[in-house]
Amino acid sequence: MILKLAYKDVVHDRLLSICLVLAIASIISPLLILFGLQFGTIETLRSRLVEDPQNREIRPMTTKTFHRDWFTQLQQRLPEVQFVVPMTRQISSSVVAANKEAKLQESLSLMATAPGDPLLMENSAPVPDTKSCVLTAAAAQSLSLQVGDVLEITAQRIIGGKYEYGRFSVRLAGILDERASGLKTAYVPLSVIEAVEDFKDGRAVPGFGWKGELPTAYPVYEGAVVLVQAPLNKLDQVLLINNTGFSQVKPLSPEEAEQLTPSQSLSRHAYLLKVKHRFVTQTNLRAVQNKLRGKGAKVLPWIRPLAVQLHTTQGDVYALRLSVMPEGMPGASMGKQTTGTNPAGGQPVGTLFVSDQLPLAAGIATLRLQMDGRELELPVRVEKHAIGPDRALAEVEFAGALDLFRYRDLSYNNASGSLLLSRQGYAGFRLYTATIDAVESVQRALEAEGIAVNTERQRIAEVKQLDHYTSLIFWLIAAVGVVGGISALTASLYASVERKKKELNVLRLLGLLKKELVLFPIAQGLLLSSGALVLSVALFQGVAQVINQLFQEQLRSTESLCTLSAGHFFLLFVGVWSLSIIAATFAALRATRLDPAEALRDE
Amino acid sequence: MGNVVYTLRDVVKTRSKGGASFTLRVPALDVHKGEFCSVVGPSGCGKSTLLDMLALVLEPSQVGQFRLNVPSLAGVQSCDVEGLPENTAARIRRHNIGYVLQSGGLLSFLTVRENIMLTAQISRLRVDTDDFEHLVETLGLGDQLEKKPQYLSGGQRQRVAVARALIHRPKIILADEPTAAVDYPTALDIRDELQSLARQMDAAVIMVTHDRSLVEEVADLQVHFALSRIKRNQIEATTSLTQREQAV
Repeated sequence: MILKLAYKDVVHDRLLSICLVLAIASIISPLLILFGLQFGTIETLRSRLVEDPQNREIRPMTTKTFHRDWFTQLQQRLPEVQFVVPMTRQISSSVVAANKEAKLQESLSLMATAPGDPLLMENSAPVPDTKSCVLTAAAAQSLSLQVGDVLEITAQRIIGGKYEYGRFSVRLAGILDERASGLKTAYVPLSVIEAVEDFKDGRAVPGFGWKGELPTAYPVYEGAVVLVQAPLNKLDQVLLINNTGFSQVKPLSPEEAEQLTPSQSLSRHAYLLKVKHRFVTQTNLRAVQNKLRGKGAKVLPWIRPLAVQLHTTQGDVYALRLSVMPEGMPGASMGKQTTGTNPAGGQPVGTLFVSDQLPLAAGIATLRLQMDGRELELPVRVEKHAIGPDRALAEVEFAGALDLFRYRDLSYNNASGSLLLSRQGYAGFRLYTATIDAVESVQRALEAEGIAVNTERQRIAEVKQLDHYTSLIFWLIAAVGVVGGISALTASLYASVERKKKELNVLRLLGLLKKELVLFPIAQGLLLSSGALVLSVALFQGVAQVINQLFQEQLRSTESLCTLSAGHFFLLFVGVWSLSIIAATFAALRATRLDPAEALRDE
Repeated sequence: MGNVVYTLRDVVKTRSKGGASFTLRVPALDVHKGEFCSVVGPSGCGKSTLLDMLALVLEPSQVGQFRLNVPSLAGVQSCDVEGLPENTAARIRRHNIGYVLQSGGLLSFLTVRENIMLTAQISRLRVDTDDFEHLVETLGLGDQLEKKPQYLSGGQRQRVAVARALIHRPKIILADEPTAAVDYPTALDIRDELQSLARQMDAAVIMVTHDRSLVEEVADLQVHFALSRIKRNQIEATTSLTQREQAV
């Protein structure tokens, strides 16, 4: 009932009520517009920072070799990293793209991408496969291409003073939003970029049909067995490890020599040369050979036995220890072609000699090497020989090539039937953090690893600082406004109680309790402040629309320069209502001090 | 007359202002149900002080006995007014006392209908439509119900005040100079209407007026005031009663 009375009184004194509503609205509205501007501006800047993945991008400032392991471990070490993809050398990624139908061509840079690439995903483009690409808006525009069109990409190299071209066609899977980049760039899977770089480096890329040198795996060894007619003196032994790449020399007993080089060491003196770190190559062996010139020496490469698995076409698997087959070993059919075909279709890389005691037929089988979580599979010819059942022997070059797998990735190339060196690392990367707040920490972590990087950290910090200072200014103004608002509301409600004193006295005389009468100014305060809030919000919306319209050209469709969220309006209503209750409480206290006897007296 | 509504014995109220003091002494006063009691006297004799005490908005300074016999929400049939808690007094007022004030005491922001219904709403009493219509028709307010008080004549305003005082069927009606702002014929009409309606409800009417002629013929009980100056700044008023002889 008291709320109804308060409402009726407000409506009855509508002119005065409107004046009060206008007075309160005149305090709230400018504050709302001010805060709307502050929030809208900062939010626009912030959302541009947050929403635009470019601001979360971390780019290396210098070229450096980043190994594959570095990429796989990065996200484990830095969970703030949302996405990282390797990059090849910049010079290797320059290509010419052509729209043949429109007879247009343009120089582009190729960039690697992969599933989860935020630059593509947050700029309206899908992640391309090896048969497609994504272009920046500038590239698509200059080539007059639409999504679905086909473009031809040409990589160029000079070999022996002659230009050679590697071409491939891709379908345009998507065009990035303009904000993504102003450069002319094509985004393709990493394998495509690797192929282009290989081509430019003069290598063949069988997958693309590009000819050139193959990065064939070269043989490496962990040591060599030296066989000489006469024993070597200490000086000669030292000479063997002087500038030859070897670091140890050890005389072998006849038994040891026979075990390492069966049938070779008879009536000879044997020495084992070893390296301390990594491996030696044919060059090192030649250096030793030169040192022993005129001594009738034989230098045989030696490898630490490799653990391998032989998978036969029948499905049998044999675990064997592979070592170098001594030159001229009796019974070995070196280079002899074996009949039979590889079911997988690839050419066998070399011959593997296994024990004649093993229940397997000579022919083609698959050799598998596993090392540090890496795996290599290749077809081999299998020959039988009188050796131990757990042993396997391979020709010197073949065994050395397999031994290289200890030290770097190799892959079997089906087309050429050879073992190829896999890429060891990359010149750079494209990295995105999950949030703009993580940019600084990831930058610090990378810099701690000695990787100089470039980020938008400074810009992010500037926006944060701007937010801080404008918030401070706003809250100072708001504090003055709040004090003014409370004063205005308190004075108005207090005056209202004074003005209504006679009527309130009558209500008290008629039996209204103090606690009931207190609600009268509070309800009126809430009614008036609600009216002021509605008016203020309407005014704010109108002014905000005008401001946003004025700056429309500078804003994107989803942005507003002057705006408030639903949460802000909720806080505003709760805040103003709370303040109006506080203000009305002063008036309510006055109402409780009214004397009902005054109702009789006033008459 | 039936049951006693008010019983006052040796009730004294002293008020001081600016060094001057005024003392009202009520040696004895019994007001019964259905009785029409007039409080007559010149300005400043203590009429309003007595009315304030009867309205439970002014506490006496000294009390021999001050009892009120009315049903109330608190279930109190009879209570000593002295030391009555403020909220209890307010509850007793809202259920048992009707007020007719000098200029009506109507709320300007309510219509006539809302003003009349106000006391019923405060006492949370459901009013029968027939009773409401009977009351407003008797007082001639049938076509004024949707008007605001400021658009009514003085007489109409007082009639609205009478209706408001009676709508919740109180046992006591306190009227403070209810006819002061109207002409004499209207005053007579209002007095008669008030008396008649109160009698129908068996309510006691205590009407304060300075116009003896208005109540002389109809009052069952008249309260008079004898003023005496004790000191230079000290005035004392003592009440006396005149009981109208009952018609046989």
